[in-house]
Amino acid sequence: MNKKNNLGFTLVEILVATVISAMSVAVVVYLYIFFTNSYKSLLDKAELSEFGRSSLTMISRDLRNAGYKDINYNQTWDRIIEQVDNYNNTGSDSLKIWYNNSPQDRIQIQYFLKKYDSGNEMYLAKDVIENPVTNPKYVYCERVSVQKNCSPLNIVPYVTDFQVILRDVDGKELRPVCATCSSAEGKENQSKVHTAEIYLTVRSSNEIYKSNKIVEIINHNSSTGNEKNLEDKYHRDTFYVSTYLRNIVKN
Amino acid sequence: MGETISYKTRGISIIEALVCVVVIGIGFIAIYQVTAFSVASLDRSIEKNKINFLSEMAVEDMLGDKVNIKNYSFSETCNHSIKGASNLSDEQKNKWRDKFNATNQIKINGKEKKPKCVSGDGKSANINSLGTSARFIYKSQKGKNAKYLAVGIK
Repeated sequence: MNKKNNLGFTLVEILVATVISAMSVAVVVYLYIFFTNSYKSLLDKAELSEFGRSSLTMISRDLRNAGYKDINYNQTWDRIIEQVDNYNNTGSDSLKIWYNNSPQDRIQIQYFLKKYDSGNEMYLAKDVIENPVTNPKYVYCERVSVQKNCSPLNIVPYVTDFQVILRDVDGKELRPVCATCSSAEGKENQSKVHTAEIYLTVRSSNEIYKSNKIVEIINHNSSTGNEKNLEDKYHRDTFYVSTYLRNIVKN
Repeated sequence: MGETISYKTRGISIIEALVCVVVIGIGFIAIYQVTAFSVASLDRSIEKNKINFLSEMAVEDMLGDKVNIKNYSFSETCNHSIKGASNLSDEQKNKWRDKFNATNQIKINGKEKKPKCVSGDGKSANINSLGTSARFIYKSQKGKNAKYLAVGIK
């Protein structure tokens, strides 16, 4: 017989064990929440970074091609580049670029912000039309051959701002620059464009911060007063790229 | 039978339990450190993206003004104050300074989101004596990371 070993737990032992267990559980729960939130915020930031990088690389590549005219192209060549302020009342710009993608074909590429079907959130959309004047054909369609269910491509979700600044050879901002407008100055300015600057502000798809942040988006201090002020818990970053438009300058 | 408790069925002592808690705690601290490191790495990755675009901007500007390429020599550390400009190259360099400081882009709680710049960091543009090649170097992370971008000028 070993009486000592048959004794149960004392109240003090149970209390100590309960306190230690409670502390351990609390720490584990806290860490679980912390790690889950960190993981989500990591994913969101990684996504934001990837979208910013890939979209600006794509836009930059298209800008370098802007105005490229094949030596064998025999149609009227009056469209090169166009920038529109406050496109569709989004408070952001639209950018249109034209260039030859084959000796006989020309494409029109447009970048602009588009609202989702519900709510006020926007995404950066890309629309491509082959031979926009002679035989328009949208590229992003369910069935291209019959031009069925064509709609612009969502290339960056949750974009807060998209600004396009076009400058001449002396670094002065050009306004207006347009191909499809009635302004003679705007049409003439197309061939004066030397450099394009793009600002893209993207937000995380989920809320990241615990408290609201006051966000002021300026993206080029222009006379058009396109600043946006927001207050929320999302993470936002602005990406900027500047491209020399060699094919417009060459012509 | 069953009146004595063998060594194997005795359970764990409080000391053993505490040691166990401490060991698990150390494990959690390690994971916490790894998480913090990943968050910081991702922020650095976003910063590197921006650095790539800024370096491209400098090179594109130099390509756009080939005639005056020799005027584009540039070397600054963290202080990018705007200077007087009498020609295009000076204006372009002021533009670089503006973008290196992320001026007029985004403000969070009233503060501009400037790229980090510490001792050892810097940006420089070097043009060869013939004006046939240009190189832009953007150093970050105390000079440990350097983005090199070079172009031939025709």
